[in-house]
Amino acid sequence: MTERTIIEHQHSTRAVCLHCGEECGARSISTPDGAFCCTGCEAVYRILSEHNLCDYYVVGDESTRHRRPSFRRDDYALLDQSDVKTRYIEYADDERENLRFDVPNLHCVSCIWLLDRLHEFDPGILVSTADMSRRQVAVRIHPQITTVRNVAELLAQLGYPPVVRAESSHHEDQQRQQERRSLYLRMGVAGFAAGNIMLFGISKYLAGGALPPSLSLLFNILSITLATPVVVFSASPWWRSAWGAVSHRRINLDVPVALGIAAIFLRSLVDIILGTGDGYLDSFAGLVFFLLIGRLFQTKAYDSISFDRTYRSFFPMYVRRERHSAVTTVPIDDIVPGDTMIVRHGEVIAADSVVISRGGYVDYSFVTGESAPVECVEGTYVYAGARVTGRAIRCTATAAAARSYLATLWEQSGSSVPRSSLLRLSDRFASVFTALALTIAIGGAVLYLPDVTAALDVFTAVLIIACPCALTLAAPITLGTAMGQLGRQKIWLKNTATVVQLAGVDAVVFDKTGTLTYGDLVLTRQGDPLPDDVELAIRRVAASSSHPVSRALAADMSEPADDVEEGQQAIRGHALGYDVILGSADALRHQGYTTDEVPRAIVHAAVNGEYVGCWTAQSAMRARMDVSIQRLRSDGIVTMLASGDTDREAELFASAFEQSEMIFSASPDTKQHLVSTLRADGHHVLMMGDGLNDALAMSAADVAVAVTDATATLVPACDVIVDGDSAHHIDKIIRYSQTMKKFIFINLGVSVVYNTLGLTMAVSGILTPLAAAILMPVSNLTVIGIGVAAARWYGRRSVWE
Amino acid sequence: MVRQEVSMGIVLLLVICSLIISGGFLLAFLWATRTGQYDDMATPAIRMIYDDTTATHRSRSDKEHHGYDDTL
Repeated sequence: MTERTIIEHQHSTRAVCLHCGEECGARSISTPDGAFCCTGCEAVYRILSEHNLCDYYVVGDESTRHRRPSFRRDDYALLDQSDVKTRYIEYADDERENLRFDVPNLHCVSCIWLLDRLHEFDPGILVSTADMSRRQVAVRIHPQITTVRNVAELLAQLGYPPVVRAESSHHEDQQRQQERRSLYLRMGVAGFAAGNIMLFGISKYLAGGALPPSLSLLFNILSITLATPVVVFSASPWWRSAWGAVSHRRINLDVPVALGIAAIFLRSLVDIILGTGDGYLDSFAGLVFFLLIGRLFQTKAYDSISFDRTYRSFFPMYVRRERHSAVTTVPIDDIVPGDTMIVRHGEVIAADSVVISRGGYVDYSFVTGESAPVECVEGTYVYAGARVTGRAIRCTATAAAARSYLATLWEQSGSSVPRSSLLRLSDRFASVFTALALTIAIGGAVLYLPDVTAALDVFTAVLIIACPCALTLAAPITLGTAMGQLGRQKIWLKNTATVVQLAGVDAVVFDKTGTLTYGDLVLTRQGDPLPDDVELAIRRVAASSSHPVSRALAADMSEPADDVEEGQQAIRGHALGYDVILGSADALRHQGYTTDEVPRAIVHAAVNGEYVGCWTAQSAMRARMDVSIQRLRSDGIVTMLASGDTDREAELFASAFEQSEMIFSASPDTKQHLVSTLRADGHHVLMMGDGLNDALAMSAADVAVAVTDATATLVPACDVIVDGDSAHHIDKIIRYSQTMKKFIFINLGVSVVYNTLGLTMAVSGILTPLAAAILMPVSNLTVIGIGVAAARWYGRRSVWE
Repeated sequence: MVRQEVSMGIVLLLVICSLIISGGFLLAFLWATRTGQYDDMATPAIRMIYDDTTATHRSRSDKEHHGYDDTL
């Protein structure tokens, strides 16, 4: 190694790719404009500079990293088919089509800047609008000038490949949007009415009955006018829910709420019309407003994340079918037994089939969790769900896609176990509460008989104050805020009830690959860094082998070396004038080299007859995961490891698990059985997994947690999605949920105190409109304050560090 | 008695004014919600920090994209 190459090497590692901002390694491309790490990045830069859009690189801050594009030409061919195309179209006429794409890569300021300017690239694009929180881009096109496919391909070229949408997602999107909008509308109307009625009320209370009769009449008329839309429009969710429950002979928590708001409105109306009192319309409007706030917290959901998946989400939507030596892209449903499919590197085989090409490697990590690749040769039977690594494979389908092993696996998991839900608990509570309130109301009224007016007064006053408003607020406000705090730590919950489920967990079952460990096979160089050209040569030799370890070593090098001999556990090739041998320690020792003794070394290299070191496989546990497991155990929570992999890496986990707590070579059924057994023993089980092979066990568990290293990738149906970097927070998530559950009970206690106070006043007939106007908002604000403060304090940033 | 009638008239006027003003805000809020301005609360906050250096084409599309559109 000469001094010159060392200097060059140091220089080039400092060069940073003009597009993605990552260091350009040995494969850099230098141009007059600057250096690029790969051809993909260069292509995006070219597109941007052609359209004078290089401001893209200026808009974001220094730390902004743009995604490297990966794009194959035929990826979006299916978008020419009308049934697929309509999934993206929200509105269409002859002049324009409104499209919506999910682009998970949208992550920063410059992404928004660029995606807002798609009309610069294609005259057929009229407007494009990026949506950061939903990670979507809305595009309006002129259908005569451009097509859905063109836009999808443009997005992919720019490094934002749109996700293939499920059939119903479009409908759900609009429904959710509509619900959110109507909630805001209801809140606006209720808040407006509450504020104005309160102003009239205050002047009445301050005047102490000395208000001129004409003014009093005016205020009453205005109050009723303002309160009417609140009854009809803002409070309608409670009418509907309560009526729905009662007509099915059930009682839910909305029944006493509806009863309370009906009582308060009707009593006020009667009081005002008969002139027997001022009515409680100010309290009424305020009550509905607070109830709507509670609902807003409850409907907090993450738009950019989808929790419900079908097995089809894991499948490719289309396959390349070869017929009469012509290759066409067809939907997977069109595959019939006997069809020939071509499956490329990284793609999933959609139907059980027999390999008819020279062979290659597939892995079943998707189905079984076993990440080690399996070699297949001509005639090998491969199951649907196998992922091809390395060389493309040609195979003949022996079954249709829907009937294959993967689909059966998924359909089994459809029969999910009934979960002890928060809903059932609150329903039971609601029936007791309603019965109690009605008993007190009737009892109080009976006490005042035969004075019918006084009896009716007490009856309605009890119903008004017994309206479990603060009670209904306590849980959604606390849990909704808690969800938001967890979301900041990249822990996304499906709904507020999940917090309660998490609080009860006393057994945790972990998957191994991708959950406890990092997902991908990452090779780490041991020893001194190699000179650039040597590294390049090694990568090129590695690129010519389809063995997964070689693929990992080659990284994204696509140029293979010439005259490569592939032998037992070793390959030998020539590139850039170097003679490179790559292989296992045994293979190199066999050829007379002395190899370094490095634990978990997976590949060694020799260049020009000289040993140059080795690489280790980083199938390591996620950082701080072992600490987390220790803490779970010290909290008395049962921890288990269920891996579909063989026990070759068992010693890695020996520090965290007892031998009896680890199960290896577990099939999806075995995992499910483990979870079911734990549940049968009375445990409340949390299953933490990442792939389809865990789906069965996850559906059997009380709480399903999916770990993902990119929100773009697919996860099984679950209750919680955790970013890989936050997976080690699992113990803190459970503790936090337990604390939040405690605070719900504290809040329930507080609201019971207020309700008792109010009930005492109601029964003794002194619940004046003024007393109600003070007591009700104060009780609601106390509950909201305690809930929000507790969720924020116990979920503050320093807790997670 | 005359003085009270006068003050009543003023209160009436003030009540009407306050209802008209707050009603106007309510209508503005309802319009904004219905046209989708509350659908995305994150992106516009980021969008406003851009400099309009390459805004040449933007003006064209702004004309076609006047106001907010509930379908997009």
